[in-house]
Amino acid sequence: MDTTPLTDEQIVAFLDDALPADEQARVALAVANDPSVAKRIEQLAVDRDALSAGFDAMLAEAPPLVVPDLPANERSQPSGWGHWISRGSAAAAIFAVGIGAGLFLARTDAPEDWTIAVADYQVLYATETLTTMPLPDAARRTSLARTGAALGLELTEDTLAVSGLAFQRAQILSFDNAPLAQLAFLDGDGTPFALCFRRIDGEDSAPVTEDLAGLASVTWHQDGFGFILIGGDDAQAVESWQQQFADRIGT
Amino acid sequence: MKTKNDRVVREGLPDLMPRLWRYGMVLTRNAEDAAELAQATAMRALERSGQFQPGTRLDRWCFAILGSIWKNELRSRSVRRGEGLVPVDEAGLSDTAPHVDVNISAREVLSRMMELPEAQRETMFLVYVEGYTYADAAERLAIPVGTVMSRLANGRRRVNEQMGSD
Repeated sequence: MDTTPLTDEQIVAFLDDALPADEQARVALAVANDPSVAKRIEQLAVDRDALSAGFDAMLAEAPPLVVPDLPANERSQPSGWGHWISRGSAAAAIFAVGIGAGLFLARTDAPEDWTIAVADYQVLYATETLTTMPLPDAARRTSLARTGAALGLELTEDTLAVSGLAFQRAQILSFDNAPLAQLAFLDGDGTPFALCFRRIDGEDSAPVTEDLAGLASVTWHQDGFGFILIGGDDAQAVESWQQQFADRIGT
Repeated sequence: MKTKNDRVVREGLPDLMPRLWRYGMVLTRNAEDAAELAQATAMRALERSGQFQPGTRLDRWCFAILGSIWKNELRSRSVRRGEGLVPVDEAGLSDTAPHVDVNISAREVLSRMMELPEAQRETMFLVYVEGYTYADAAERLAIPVGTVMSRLANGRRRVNEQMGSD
């Protein structure tokens, strides 16, 4: 009898009834006899009915989409994306109908290129980037005070004392010839995070969670600054820290 | 054959458009981009109707076209723009779609799945929503079956964790 420990992949394939019959039987036996396997099944379970219901509902949200009427002489000619866009008003009219309401809404604000630049930079950070030459306490505090002063935001280590993130250093970067502050952190696992901000006129905005360059991030506007908190892949953790930072910066 | 294929594709597309849009939503997480992607897919399918094999599934053929357009032409533009997802809760489902009878757990699990990294959510969508077998999904995504399995396992674990932590 095969006594190799089961992988999560095998358990999921078992749940999906996607294993060859003999393997399916082997996992079924393990489920019946090994409480730890039953526990793992619990951890991998997803309510498939709920998932189907959610995606069925999404179908009802689809905007009215018209199949393009392709002129005969254009058929069988490969078209690039730009070719389709260049069809201009007809295409625009189709796109404009009924789009925007639904399960998910598109962001309507202008793209914030600086957050993309931050993400592209943060991707290069490893634990060692911040641990190889740690700043002495005094230098760390000075870097923070200088960076805050350059941007016009008073910051102390107390402001940054959120649970689970350890402040490492601050530095002033530049974007579009204007200063951009970068505050670097490590979490308990050594994953690097950055809280970056720059002056941006405009009203405060609610935090938006998004995946940027493969990193979890939350961006928001507050008190005349645009902020981004970015790092790792755990969006919920980043959201939780964002909330703490927003509360602390706002007071 | 070209004429017959053209008719099959043209007649099949209208019913497929909502599903193409939905697949587009899974990839782009943005209603406008999803609509553009669905429209471009329909256009490309019509242009290439001569390549459609009668007797095979039109939906799968169109999904492959959509995936290819996204991967090769549209994704980089969307990533550069940094379009993001607004969670279902904030989108106010009940206000915008009162006719949609969808319970809270459906909304929740959908929202969690849409927060997964693209590779995981696309694989989960193809297998669990569009009914691809592991082998079909592997072929569609040009990855080994083992990778399909690990994406599903990782995706399921994350959705499960997030559901449990709320």
